[in-house]
Amino acid sequence: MISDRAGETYRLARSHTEGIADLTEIPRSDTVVFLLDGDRVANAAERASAIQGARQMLRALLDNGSLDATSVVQMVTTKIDRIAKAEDPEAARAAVAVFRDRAAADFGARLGSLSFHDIAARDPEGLFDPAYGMDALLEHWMRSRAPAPARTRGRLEPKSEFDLLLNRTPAEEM
Amino acid sequence: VSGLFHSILGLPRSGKTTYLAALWHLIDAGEAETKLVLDKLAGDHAYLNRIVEAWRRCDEVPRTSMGAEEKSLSMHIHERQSGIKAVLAFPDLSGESFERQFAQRICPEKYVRGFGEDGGIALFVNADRPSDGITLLDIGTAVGGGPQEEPQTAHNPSPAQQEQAEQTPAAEKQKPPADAWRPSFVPEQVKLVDLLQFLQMPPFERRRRRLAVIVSAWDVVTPVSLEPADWLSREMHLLEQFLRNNPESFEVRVYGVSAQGGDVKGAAKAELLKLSKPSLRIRCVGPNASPHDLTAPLVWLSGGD
Repeated sequence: MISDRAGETYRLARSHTEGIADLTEIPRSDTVVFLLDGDRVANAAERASAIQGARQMLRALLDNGSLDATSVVQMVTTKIDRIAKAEDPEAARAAVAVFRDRAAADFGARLGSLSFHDIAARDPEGLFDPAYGMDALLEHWMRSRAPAPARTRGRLEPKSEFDLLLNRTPAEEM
Repeated sequence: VSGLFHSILGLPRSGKTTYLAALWHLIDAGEAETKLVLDKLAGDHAYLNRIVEAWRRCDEVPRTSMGAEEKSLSMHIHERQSGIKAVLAFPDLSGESFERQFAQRICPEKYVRGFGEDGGIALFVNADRPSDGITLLDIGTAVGGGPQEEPQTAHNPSPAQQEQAEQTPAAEKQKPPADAWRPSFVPEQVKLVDLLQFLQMPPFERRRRRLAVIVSAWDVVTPVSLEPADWLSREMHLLEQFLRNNPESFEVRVYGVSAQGGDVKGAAKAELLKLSKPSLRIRCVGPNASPHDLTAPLVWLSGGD
């Protein structure tokens, strides 16, 4: 199953981190894929915002308990055909390389795995094959893996009688 | 985890919001060596994320207007060397709020409360604007006779002014002059000294506070070897003398900061955008400051160094 939401939801959640608890699909995911927009990376004025947005989202999910040492995270740079045709492709690639090094150094040890990938889903000029890079991602997503250890359920802040009942119920009965 | 509330003072366009935007990028991105780093991302960062977007595009960071003032901004940080954690909170008051405090002698209650918290004061001045104050020495040069010659004033009119005054009809004489005095005419450093004098009397708690003077747009200052403390005594004598002569109220350090790295309205913008690490645009000069470390003044204000 693939889950997706509007980008605006994620943008709001990283700005107001209380909203991260509502992204219930993230802790349940076998793989969490972050998309770094290659079109924005190709644009010198947008590059830093695109890169830092992806980095901040990763940090927000980690710092607020949605990702942990069992999480499998893939950071995917999309539309790399746009980067190849950027005004200064080397500068764009260098910025992505710096981002990857820093992300691996700062967050790699806090995750189960952190890998980096490039894709070009549909290059109109044919420089890259259709769905370039997607095969490796799909193969990774389909790979069977040992289930992650069950997480300890945190106690809810009781807001109703149902919450109180839930808090009184031992986890194994759930 | 301790809580520290640093108050920020500065008139309009003194670089307060741009500093906060660059600081947020610096500690969030982790691209440069800094004394303070982001410990965790928790809370409401919508405003910081909004202003940092403009900073990252090398656009002018939108000024804080009086209607859009934020309650306070907070950052969960830790000191890289000691590992000590703290929550730094700042008000982001508009420069107009300080203008109003000077002119109308009123300020918000939360502003007073902020000075009761643990923390220091960051006082912003902008190196990239013309001096708005005239000293006796300046007048002496302007009239060409040196300081011993008395300047022409309304109380000591020149013969030409006397002749003109005699020919002016009485009704016109009673009209207030077009350039009647307004509080906005007061030079910047006089206003800043006045804002600091507020802190020395009730309802503000009188105590010794650390105060970092942050000279923004440091990239325009010449000569490049000039120390920020020397710039302050060269350009803002009154403020410098006031701070020097009130050691019971203020422990002072002076920092030069270029949060944008250059003039983003000019040709420098394209060059700044080429940097693979935007944090390298930032410059900070002052006691115990590494070249790109905007956190140095905050470490000192927090009791470090």
